[in-house]
Amino acid sequence: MLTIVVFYGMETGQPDGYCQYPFYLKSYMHELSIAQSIMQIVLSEAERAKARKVLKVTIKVGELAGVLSDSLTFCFNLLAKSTIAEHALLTIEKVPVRGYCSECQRDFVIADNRYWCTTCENKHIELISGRELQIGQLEIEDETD
Amino acid sequence: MKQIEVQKDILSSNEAIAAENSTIFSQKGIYVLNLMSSPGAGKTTLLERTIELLKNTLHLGVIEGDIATSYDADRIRAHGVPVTQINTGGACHLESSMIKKALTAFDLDVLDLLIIENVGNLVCPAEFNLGEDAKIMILSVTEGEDKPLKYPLMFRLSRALIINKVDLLPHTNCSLKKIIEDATSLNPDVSIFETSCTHMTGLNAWKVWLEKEIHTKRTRSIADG
Repeated sequence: MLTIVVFYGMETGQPDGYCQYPFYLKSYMHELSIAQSIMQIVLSEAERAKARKVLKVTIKVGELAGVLSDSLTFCFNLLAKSTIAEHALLTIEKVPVRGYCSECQRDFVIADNRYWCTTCENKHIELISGRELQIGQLEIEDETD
Repeated sequence: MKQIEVQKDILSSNEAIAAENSTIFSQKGIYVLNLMSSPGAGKTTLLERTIELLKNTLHLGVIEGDIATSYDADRIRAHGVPVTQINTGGACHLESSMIKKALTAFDLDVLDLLIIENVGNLVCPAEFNLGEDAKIMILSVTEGEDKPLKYPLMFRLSRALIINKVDLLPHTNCSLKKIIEDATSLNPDVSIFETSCTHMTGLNAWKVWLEKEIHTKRTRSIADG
């Protein structure tokens, strides 16, 4: 399993080591961190299913999560190299931001930063979607293929 | 070919450790703040002022998160408060596992308040829970009024918003009214403080708010045994 490990040193303890990411990854740090978590879950699920190859990974990303799809795909492909997920297709399903108003008992899409009920303009709404960072399904090839 | 239903949160391992941290903080009755802002908004200066206001009555601890250097930890240490520096080595935010490890540097039995200064960044820190009681957002007026709507998640999740460097308002075209309107439309329950760490204004209201929060948590911890 290929993993880029974030080492960090602490002043009050013995440093674990110190490792800088390559310069070309600097601007993708948020997505890299998320891609690492995706890869860990994908590889452990694939291993459990005795997969020979991972063909496709479908993830859900909320509009509020601040994740750039292109950057995430770049980081995913980079981490997938030399693993059974190399060449796997990362499919990103964007989830819109939705709110729920308990006064009107209805839910609605939040667009253009209008974080209030579209019917009664109540601002005390619950966010019911839009923060997703979730792995949905994997498509794999196993011994039977 | 076979399809596997995973349905798992990508950040679930961070969430699990954040929950462990939170349990430790509750057991020890420690109130924990996660300070977030863009670089240069005045997090460390605000932290220094907060320490000066509280260090005679409370036992404080500070975790400093930075990509590199121990400049901030050195500044905090000069106030006589225990501090640990985490260098993320390039990563743009702190994660719960880093905090768990950093906790070994503190005597948790005596701490009342632990302040975590996150890496300066308006995007990533909001996604990674650390086990804190409250996320606090600091926005300086020199950054402009457009920030709440550009970075909605961080403003949505923060319990308090500190609008800093208000002494510089006459020199900018930033509208304080617009910041407050947008921040409250994203987060109607957010507590807002207008501060200047240079002129020492607005800090007392922040101190009173914080003391009340700490008191509430401590009372709850005692009640829960």
